[in-house]
Amino acid sequence: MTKVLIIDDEVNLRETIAEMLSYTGYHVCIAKDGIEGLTKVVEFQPNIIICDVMMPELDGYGFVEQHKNSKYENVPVVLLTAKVEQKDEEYGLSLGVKAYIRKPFTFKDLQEKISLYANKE
Amino acid sequence: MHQNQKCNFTTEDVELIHFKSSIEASLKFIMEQCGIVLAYASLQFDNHSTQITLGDFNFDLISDYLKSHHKTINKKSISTNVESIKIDSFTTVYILSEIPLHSNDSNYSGIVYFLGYENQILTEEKIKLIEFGKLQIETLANLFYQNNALYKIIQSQEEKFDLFSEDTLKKNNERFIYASEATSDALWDWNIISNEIFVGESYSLLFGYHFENNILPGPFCEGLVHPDDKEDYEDSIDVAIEKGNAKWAHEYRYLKACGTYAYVSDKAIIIRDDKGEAIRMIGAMQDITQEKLLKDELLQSEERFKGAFNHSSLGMALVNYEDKWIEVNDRMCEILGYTREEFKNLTYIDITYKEDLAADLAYEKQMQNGEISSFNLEKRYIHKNKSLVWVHLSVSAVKNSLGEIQHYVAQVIDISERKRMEEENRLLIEEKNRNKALQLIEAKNWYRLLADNTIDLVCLHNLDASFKYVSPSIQSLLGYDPEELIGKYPEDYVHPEDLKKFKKRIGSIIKDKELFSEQVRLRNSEGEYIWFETNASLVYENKIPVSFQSSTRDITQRKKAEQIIEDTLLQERQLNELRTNLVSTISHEFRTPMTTIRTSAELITMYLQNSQFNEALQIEKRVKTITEEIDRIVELMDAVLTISKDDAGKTSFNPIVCNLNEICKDVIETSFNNQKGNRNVDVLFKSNKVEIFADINLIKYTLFNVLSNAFKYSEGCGNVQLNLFTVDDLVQIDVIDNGIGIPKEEQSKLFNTFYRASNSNGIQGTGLGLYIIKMFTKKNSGRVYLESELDKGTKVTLRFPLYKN
Repeated sequence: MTKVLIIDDEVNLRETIAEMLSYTGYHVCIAKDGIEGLTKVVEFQPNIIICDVMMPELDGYGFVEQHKNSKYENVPVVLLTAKVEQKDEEYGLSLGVKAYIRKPFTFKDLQEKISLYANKE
Repeated sequence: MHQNQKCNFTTEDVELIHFKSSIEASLKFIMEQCGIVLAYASLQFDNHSTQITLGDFNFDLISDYLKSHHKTINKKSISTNVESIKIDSFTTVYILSEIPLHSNDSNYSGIVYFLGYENQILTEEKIKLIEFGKLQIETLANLFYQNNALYKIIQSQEEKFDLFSEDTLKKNNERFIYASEATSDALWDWNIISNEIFVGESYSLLFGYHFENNILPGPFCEGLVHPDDKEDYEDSIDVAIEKGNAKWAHEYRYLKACGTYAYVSDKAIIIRDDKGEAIRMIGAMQDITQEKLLKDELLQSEERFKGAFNHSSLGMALVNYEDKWIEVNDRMCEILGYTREEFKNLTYIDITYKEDLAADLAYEKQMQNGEISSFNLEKRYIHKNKSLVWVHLSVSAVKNSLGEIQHYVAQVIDISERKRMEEENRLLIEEKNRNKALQLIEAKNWYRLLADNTIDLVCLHNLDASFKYVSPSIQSLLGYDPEELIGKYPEDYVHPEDLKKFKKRIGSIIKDKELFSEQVRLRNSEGEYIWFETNASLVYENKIPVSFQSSTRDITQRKKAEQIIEDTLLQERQLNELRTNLVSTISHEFRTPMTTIRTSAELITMYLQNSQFNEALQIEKRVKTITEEIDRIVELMDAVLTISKDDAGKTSFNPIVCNLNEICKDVIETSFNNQKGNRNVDVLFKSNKVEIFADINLIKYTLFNVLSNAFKYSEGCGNVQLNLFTVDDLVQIDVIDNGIGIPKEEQSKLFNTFYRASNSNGIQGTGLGLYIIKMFTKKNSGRVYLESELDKGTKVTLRFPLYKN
């Protein structure tokens, strides 16, 4: 089973996504911000991280930076974002982000990205 | 005189007389040549006496001579059987006494010859003293006559003895040589009978001719006289000879050997025989060429001077040492109005204007002292008609060779006209200046008037910027009294922050003559700072800056207005920002909850599919609605955001050369393959590798929207057609559908925001699609066109310029 870590500061969204993925056969872990996220990476050791960009304390990019400097940096990250500016995309990709998912997304979008980028067991 | 000629003399003895000076030598010579012993006596004539008393004789000299010539002589006294001779004055007469050659001849006679040393000319009644050596002895008379000279013959003589025979002449010539050594005149001796002329050394010296024995033939000599003077010359000689004159003098031109003529003054005595015939002339020629030339020149120069003097356009006058007018020319008479005669009775002092006299006299004094030799003076003379005449006077002194002033030459130019014009000019200039001054005063008054009454602060500053004049308006503007500020410096009142730029400006106005315009804060009497704008410029007088004037205006209101404008602008900018941000922010903020809703909806759908709800379908349907509406909101939000971004100029635009065919294919493959109902895009590329210069994203977006619309509004109407081809230098893409079409009257409006055609009810749309298409197409230098027929279909055309490198 693919382990997915979901990091989003919006509780409703976070839980809805988690529920959806869970229902469709994924092992899900959630974190409410970047810092918790980093901890969960260590604990949970996910195959893929779905992370929101706009978060307080440590935003998506901050998380990615730190994550990439950790020993779990091989875990791929896909960013969720409300806005997609080309320059943001470029920035993200330069940090090592695998892909962007634009909000609002369909389940199909999400599943596609996970299939593409998650680490194989 | 031939030596062997005999002379018979009376028995009377002749006493020897003593020789005198140069005559001695000559006599000695004669004696030797003639073979006769001659002796002379020095005679003294006193004024009244008629007696000739013989003086002492110098026996010894003669005796010596005789002894050397083996002659002897006895000293005897001369018989004074001399006729009474009336002689006027004291003169020396030489008596020649002949002494017989033969001493043993008891019959010897001595002739007393009166030899004259010509130093006096006596009248014919009196005894003419003959010239030395010119003797002709009357042999048979008691007296012999020689050139009107009376001689006592002591003894008769048998024969004439011609002292002037050839030999004699020759000898006499030598005599001349001696004589002529003493003189620079050319002595000549003309034997009229033989027409031969003997000349002295000087002759050669003066005229350059050399003849053997110094004898010239007469005709030759005559030929030397200048042809123009020849007639007169010959006439005068003829006259003198015929008239029986004893003397002759004439001036004529004589040809020199060098070819030029010399002016000659010739004086001669005419020697006659007892019949009165002229037999000989002895004369002396003086070369007076220099004098003559000088005289001529002097004459000429006098003539010239006279000419210049009389015809000069300047007044000229000669004034004597006593200041009297000697000579005046016509012009002078004209200028001063007096006649020549009147002038002669006046001195220059008489007719000089008294105010100018002092200078004139002073100059004259200086000339007399030799300090100056000329002077110039402008003075006034008194015209005959009592008016004053302005003249320019030039005076120079004429001195003789001793340096004494003989007279003055005065030149006078009438400058009354010039003086008059000068006066006129002066008056005009004065008038002009007065006018200028008046104008200046008036201008100043006007200025003052304006300055005093203006609201603005008007000041005059010295060049060091200190206040010279401050208008009363300072009271209301800054609360000071004008007087307070006089002499103070404006910089003392400037706000410290503005001081630097203020000083800089002051510097440049004075140095670079720039105009000054600056906004500064000035401190008022209460210590508050108020915004003013100052303009200043230099004030020139005669092109030199003398001060500068400033005009200062309270710009508080203006500053406030400016501030308001600035604030407003800022506000607007901020609002704009806000607006742009707002849209962006809203879209931002909305997305997350919408995601939640959507995802929840999807989840519900998933649950429903695995559930046994009775109302499952209904629920599913409603959940689908939720999802659709969310999608709708999102679409709208995106469109609005796009427009808003573009509005704010924030659409990223990065045009590159791109292959339109590829882009089309890309878009179709990504989004339009296998649409609902198995619909596809039928692609027709009439041209391949079509390149345009455009932003790929925008093109993709545009194509996406066009195709999307085509499918949306032609559901169930088969495939959508896409044609690509080039026309001239454009590429055209036609997207054709067979859908519902657009009512004709609404076709143009479709490009407006939020406009939806009336037949589009039931089909979901934002109403912004075409607007965005138009926007993006334009951005890529393209155009979009629409062709449609209701219920038949729609063709959307995109045109872009081809890329040309």
